Amino acid sequence: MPLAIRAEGLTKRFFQRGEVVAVDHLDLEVEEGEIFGFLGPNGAGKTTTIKMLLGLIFPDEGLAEVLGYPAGAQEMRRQVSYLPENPYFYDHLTGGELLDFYGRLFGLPNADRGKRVDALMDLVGLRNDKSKQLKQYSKGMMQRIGIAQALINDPKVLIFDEPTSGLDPVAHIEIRNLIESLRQQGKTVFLSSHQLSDVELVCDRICILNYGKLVKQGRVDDLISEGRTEVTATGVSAELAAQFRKVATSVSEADGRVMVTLPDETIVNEVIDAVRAQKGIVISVVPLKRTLEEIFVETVGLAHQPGRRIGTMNQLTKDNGK
Amino acid sequence: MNTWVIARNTFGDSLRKRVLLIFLLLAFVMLTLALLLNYFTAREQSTIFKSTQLVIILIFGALIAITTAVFLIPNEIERRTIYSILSKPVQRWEFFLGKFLGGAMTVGFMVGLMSMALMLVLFVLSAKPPTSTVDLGQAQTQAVNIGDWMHRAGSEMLLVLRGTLVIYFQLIIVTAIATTLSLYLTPTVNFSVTAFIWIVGNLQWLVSALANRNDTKDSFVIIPWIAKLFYYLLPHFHDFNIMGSIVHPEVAIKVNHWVYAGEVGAYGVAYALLVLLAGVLVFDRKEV
Repeated sequence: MPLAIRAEGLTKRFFQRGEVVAVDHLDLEVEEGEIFGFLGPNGAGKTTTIKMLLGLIFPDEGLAEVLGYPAGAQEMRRQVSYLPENPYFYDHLTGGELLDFYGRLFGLPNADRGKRVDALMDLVGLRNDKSKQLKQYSKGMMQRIGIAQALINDPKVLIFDEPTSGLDPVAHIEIRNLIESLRQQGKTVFLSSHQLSDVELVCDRICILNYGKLVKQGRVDDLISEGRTEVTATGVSAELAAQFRKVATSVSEADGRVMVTLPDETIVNEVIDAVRAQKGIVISVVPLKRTLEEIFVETVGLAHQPGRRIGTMNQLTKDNGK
Repeated sequence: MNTWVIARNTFGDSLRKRVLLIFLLLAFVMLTLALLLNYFTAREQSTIFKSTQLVIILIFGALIAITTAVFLIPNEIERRTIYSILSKPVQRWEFFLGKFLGGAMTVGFMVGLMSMALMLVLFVLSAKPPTSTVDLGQAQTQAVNIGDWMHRAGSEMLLVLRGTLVIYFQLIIVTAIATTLSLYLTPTVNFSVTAFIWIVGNLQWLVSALANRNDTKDSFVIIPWIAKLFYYLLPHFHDFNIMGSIVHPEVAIKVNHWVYAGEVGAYGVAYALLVLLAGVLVFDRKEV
């Protein structure tokens, strides 16, 4: 597959009371037509990377290409669109005028522009609010109009920064469905989001950034399954259970049943054979899936990041009591 | 093309700024108060009235120009609207010039409104017979002569038009300077610096005198150097002061007023272009 986005050794440093490496030798490849989740805690360097891809800021080292063009190139920007986080638009304009304004920036002819504006207002469910000034729009409506402006040029690559931020559950699902529909149209979506459940549902691949470094990437399906399997059986002797503990992630017993969680699929058959050899009964073999949230927390290692961990109310009470 | 699209949007956005409308309102209040000068004699009325009104337009025009321009780009960055524009196929120079042009259009609109108010007043005043006892007999004759009234009013309005045009050229430079400085300075600092440049630019005759002084004491030897730097670097706004010829049109000057206004305008445009060129070069590599 041709690449929609490619970054090689992309590095950005800021100088604020000393040097801060916001993005540290990032290597990234996003294929055309895929929905790619770009994850990381706050301050991980996601927005900085996006800004470099769009040419809003310039890398100190490395290169970035979008659709084969250097990041920020004029031709690249014709085929790419961007929805910033918490977008703010000119609130003296109406929704229709805003889309018309962006359409003009793409040089869309008058007739096409009018049709496109109407179609997009329909698509994001704002047809009845087309003539309303943006200052009268709610946060959710602003997010929708933001998505509409990102689609005005029928882009090949869409870069979304927190597109579902501030949306109610229904609007949330609608936007998620919209992103899904973009995949069906063959668009590439580069999705930066903290809504991990959304990412898990819509993304083909993800990468996780921490302190500017790429710490994990892969297909979502592969990451969330990772080969863990839970075998439940009865008639397992205490000796056999002890043997399982040597190879299993966990072994628990309840109501005469033994539940063995295996770290990968390679030893599942051996465990089943061992149970059968003891005339035990294998009740179920379930491949276990982890949530993206678990993978994210495990990867980012929240507990090992001093200054980033949020304390508990108990801790606050304890500290005050000192 | 994109420059024009951005300029139009900036114009619409700027016109809704309350602070500008307050300045405009204050300017109208001041212009109205100046009508009290109606109590003076005819000659004084015309002279003082016109000069006061043009100074009011200049001062409020400068305030409007600086206030508009210092926020043009910082507001875009702060509100993050710049991201959704520069991620579109808009060249950075198009954006920068569009913002400036939008600001210049706003200033032009505001100055235009003020000058129209002044012209309207002059038009009405031209119909009134002067109250001076010396000119009374002649004035009464003039007042009934509609053709003459129109002729006088037309002349007055042309003079005001020329005056406000020259003021506008001055304000174009001010807008260009404030827009370019806004790439580096916060709006508050930028307001002070641009206002300082505007004031010094209007006092270039004094700066020139300071630059050519030879009797400065040793401890102040740096002053002529600073004055020279200001003289060569900062705009010569004192050259834009053609109010004398507007207030006293009867005084014969060996230059054609319109030609002089054109020359001043050309200087204003050239200076503004140079400042904008510097701004374009800086903005091209500015991270937003």
